[in-house]
Amino acid sequence: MNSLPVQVVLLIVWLGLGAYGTYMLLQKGYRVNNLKILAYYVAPVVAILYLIINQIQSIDTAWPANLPGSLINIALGIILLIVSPALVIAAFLLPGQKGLDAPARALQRDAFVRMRTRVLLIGAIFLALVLPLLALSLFKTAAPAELRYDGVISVIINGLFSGALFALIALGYTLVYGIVELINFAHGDVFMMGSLVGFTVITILLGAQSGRPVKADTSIFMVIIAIILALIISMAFCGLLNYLINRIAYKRLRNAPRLAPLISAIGVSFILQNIGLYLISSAPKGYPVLFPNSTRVANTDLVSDIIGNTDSLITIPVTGILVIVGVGILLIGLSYLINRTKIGKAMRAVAQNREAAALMGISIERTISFAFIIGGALAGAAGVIYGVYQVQGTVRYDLGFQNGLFAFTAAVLGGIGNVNGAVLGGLFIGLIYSLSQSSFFGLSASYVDLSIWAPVAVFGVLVLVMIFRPTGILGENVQEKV
Amino acid sequence: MAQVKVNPATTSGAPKSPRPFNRADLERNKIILWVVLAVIFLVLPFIGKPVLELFGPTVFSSTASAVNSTLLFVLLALGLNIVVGYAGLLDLGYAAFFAIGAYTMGFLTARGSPLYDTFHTNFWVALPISFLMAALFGVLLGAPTLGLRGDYLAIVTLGFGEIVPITINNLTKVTGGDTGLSGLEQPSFFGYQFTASSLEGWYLVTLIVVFFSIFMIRRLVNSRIGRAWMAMREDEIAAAAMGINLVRTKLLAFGLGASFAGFAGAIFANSLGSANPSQFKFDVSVLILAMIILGGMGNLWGVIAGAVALAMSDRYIIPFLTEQVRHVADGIQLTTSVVNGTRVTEANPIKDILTNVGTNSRLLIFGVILVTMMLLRPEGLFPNSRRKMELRTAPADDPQALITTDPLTQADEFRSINYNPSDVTDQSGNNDGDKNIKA
Repeated sequence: MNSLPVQVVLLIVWLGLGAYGTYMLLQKGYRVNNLKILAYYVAPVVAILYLIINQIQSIDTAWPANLPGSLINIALGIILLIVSPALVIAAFLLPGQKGLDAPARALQRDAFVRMRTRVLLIGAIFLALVLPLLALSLFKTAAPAELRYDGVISVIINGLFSGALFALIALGYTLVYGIVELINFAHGDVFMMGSLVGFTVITILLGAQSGRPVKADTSIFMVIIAIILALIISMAFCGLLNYLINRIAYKRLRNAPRLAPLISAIGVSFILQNIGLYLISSAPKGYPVLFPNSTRVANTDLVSDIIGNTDSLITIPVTGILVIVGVGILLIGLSYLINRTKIGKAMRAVAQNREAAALMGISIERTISFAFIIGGALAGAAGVIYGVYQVQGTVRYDLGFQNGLFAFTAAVLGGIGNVNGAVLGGLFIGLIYSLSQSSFFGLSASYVDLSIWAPVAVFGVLVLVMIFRPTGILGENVQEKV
Repeated sequence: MAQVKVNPATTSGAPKSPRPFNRADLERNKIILWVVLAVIFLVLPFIGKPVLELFGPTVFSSTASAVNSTLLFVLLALGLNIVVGYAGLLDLGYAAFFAIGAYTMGFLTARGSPLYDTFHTNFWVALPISFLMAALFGVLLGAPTLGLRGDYLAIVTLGFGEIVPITINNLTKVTGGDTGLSGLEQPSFFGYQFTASSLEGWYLVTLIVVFFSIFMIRRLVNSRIGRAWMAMREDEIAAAAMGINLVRTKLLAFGLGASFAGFAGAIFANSLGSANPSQFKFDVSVLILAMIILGGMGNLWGVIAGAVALAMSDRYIIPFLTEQVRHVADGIQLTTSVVNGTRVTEANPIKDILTNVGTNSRLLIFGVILVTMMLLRPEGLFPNSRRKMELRTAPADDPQALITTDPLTQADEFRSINYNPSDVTDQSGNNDGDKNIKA
């Protein structure tokens, strides 16, 4: 079965998105949004480029090499084919407007336009990231390992894991920004301190060496207890640290011009980095390998089980489960805290209107402190989980700088001040990072090492989002107060 | 009742018929002062060299290289001051323009550069080109960020400042990667051949650029552009309402600020004879920011003082202090014991920490400077009066803050307005006016 029709339909879908973008542009009265245009036009351009490259490359590839594999590919392609038109259709579907008066209709329309924008943005970004690669992988069964569907899928899974961690850090940025409109530049370094504390706790409890497997007689139970203890201690420590930072460096500057607390935050970041440097010196260390016997979840690849293909490349490290469970529990807890508790209500109130909240008897300073504590605790947890997941080179004094900036990018991409946005942005940034680290874009690992460009890709996203859509994917348009 | 209140100082303290305020005198005195200063600075190396060499053979060269790097930092601080101090746009990626200046110079003059065969020039031609390149990049960065609010702008510039050195580092074939460009051809000037060790020559080149920059900035600040910058810094919307073209004003600030860094980068690269990406990291941007914050944003002399103070302490005081800490750390004896026939040295975390403190504390000190300055004296040590008011100001709805905003007492930037000083004392001595505003 030749997959040329799949190719053609994919192309048509992409071009359809582009045509839809043009249609929106031509429609008078529709507010044109730069990022939207970008999304609509970049997607087809990327698709066409990939198809051209693919044509050139496929001349000397002997495909189909294995029929079952290509069948799976085609199935994947069909799923994608359903997903992309579904997004476009979702964008077009207007809710029924009969029986509403004019203002209600207008409100509903506005709400719908906002929702459609978001759906399209999320869909377009996801498709722009993933679809070209999957499309490429469909026709590349005989090509280098990483260009096969299983390579693509493992890169996506790893991207989502690190994305979950970026999301945890991004939440700290977004919580604080939502309430005090301050970019807490030192947040990344709080994350670093969390990683350091967790490292200390785990090595002392298990008597393990940095970067080495734990002792052979350590039971799994002990390891899990150590991780939980490290998480609790690190969260408490980082919450307290963030509280103190707020108390010492930001509280006095509440009414100062916006730049004053930002500069102060940069100073705090440098101080924390140097404290980290004093404690662990400049040579990087790593968490001990906690699960030396099973670095992967055994036979996770359902696809390879079904088709009996044993050289599947999908690998999920066992610590990935820790990421999913840990981040999941923290996110559920955070959502409960924000939506169901009194202090969460206070946080939302202060974020919406500080004066009005104060008039309702909410203590502003207490709420701000609480936001800092929560953000710090999340960063501390992220530090430990990151260390356990990533192992190598994770206890480093400058760990917080780049990761903090990535997480900040995530917060901005999702819409700073928006909690859901931070999680979404974190996942996207994780994907972007993981994809730009892999060798897809160079088409062959031997040609050029692309991992060095990953920071440039993420910072490029930061700059582009800031310029084209400073409110992010889920952020509301906020008029600057005069 | 209708008697005009007269400030007692003008009647009793001052002479009966004060000498009229004479601009011509003032200007002449100023010019004389400038000429004297210039001459002193110009002959300094030729007097300093024999004097310093009395103390030891290397004293002159180490002092001169410290002075040269200080001058470059003064140049950088002056440029960043235009962007942050005058125009109020926080730029956290200023080192990127420094890098662009240095690498443009490198491309045009280095023997290893890919442009060497096709297009290679000498220092004097490359200098204006690198300054134009930096200005071009400043405008290119500035153009898309025009609409951004202060802290967002800071983050975009930070992202740009990260992208530039990483890109330079990664483009190994073009820029030489992390080893950088080397073998930059150094200039000759009427037979005087510059080398990496001709410190007097580089001193004079940098000094002339610094003098020219000071001259230019003083002219700019008191011109329409300078006032537009300050108006924009204080209130963008009000400034736009007064007819200031925000796009042009912002881009000018970015371009001019970047061009200073381009100059500094070009001279820096050529005086070292090499350029590599690790010299243009984020900490350089923060160091320059710390300089202008320490000295006083928006005040020319404050910024220069801050740059000199930090650059010199980076060269002398911080190494001295960290060396003391290292001595203490070295003094701690480690106890060794013999366990099972092998010598085991006891780990001593305090010694480790002290050694770390002794080896790297630069950034900590800059961080502490940033935080304490923001908390205690956000306007800097030598504040610009206008900037001080802004940074110290209470929220805008506090009537007291508005009353103290008397522009005529802020004479610093309004020197060029021809006013009679006695008017000012009369006005501030007269309390009735203030009461009217309060009511």
